[in-house]
Amino acid sequence: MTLQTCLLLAFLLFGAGIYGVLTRRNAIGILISMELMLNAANINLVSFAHFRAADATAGAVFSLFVIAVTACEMAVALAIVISVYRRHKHLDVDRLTELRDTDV
Amino acid sequence: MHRGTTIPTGQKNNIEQLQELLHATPHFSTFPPMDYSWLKDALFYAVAVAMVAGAALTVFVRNVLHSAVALIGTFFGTAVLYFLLSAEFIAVAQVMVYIGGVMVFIVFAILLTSHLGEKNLRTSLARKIAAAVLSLVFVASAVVLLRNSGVSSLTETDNFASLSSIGTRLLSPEQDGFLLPFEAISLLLLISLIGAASIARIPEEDLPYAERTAENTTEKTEEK
Repeated sequence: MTLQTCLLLAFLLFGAGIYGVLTRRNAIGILISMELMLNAANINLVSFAHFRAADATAGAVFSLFVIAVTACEMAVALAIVISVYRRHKHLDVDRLTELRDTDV
Repeated sequence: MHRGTTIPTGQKNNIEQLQELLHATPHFSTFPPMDYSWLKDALFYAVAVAMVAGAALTVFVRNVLHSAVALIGTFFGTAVLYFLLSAEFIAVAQVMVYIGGVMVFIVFAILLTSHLGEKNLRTSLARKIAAAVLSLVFVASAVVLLRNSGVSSLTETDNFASLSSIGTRLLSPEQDGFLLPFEAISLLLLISLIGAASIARIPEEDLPYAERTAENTTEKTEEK
């Protein structure tokens, strides 16, 4: 277990997240893939804190803040998802085009 | 042992007796200390394989509910990884916040919106190929940058963020403390929870919907 293997693992998770965000059509599926990407970023923070940082505590506190902000983001995002579902009765992001300019 | 001839005081006598005892017993001296790093490595690779498999399942499975369950597995793997990286508090926070909080949110949202996640939306093959190419390009370029970054030449330091140091730094008002970000994040949590509640609430202009449901329920009760 080295810093490189940890970073490689984080890259793979982030790549899977990118694929999920780009292919999912369900809004919740996109949120799940975004969770995967945030998780990969957090793994980066913790592994750098373990292997490299002069101040490991700061790295741990940073990843704690990332976790807290993620929880906030998911609360708001899922509220938006439920609101969208109530209005449209579906969560297909390809058909949610209200904000798009119709002339284009 | 040459008691009395070499050691004058009783105190020193006891200590040297102990030292002689330690050297005499083969249990402490002759056995080499066991190296458990291979065990840590094996655990790391097992967890890494499980996490990549869980991430692949999360994005490839068609049912969103199954995808959420696979994501829970990935989060558990991440918690184990944090234990291996000697960040115990982050591991516990990962399990409590992500699996106990965020995933329950997500599963509830899936159950509320998509009929047990059965209704799935198909994506075109062209989009899948484009997404796969993009993510592969990202991973490949990141690996190339990692190889050229000189991270490999760095010496490994076993840094360790203890629970007490995290707590002290989080609440210390000094230069290197995180008191202000801590308070800001608690305010952010409060604001986002209020915002989430007000977004998910049925707004005034949608009241016909609420009235419709209310009428339906009254009709049903009248039928009974």
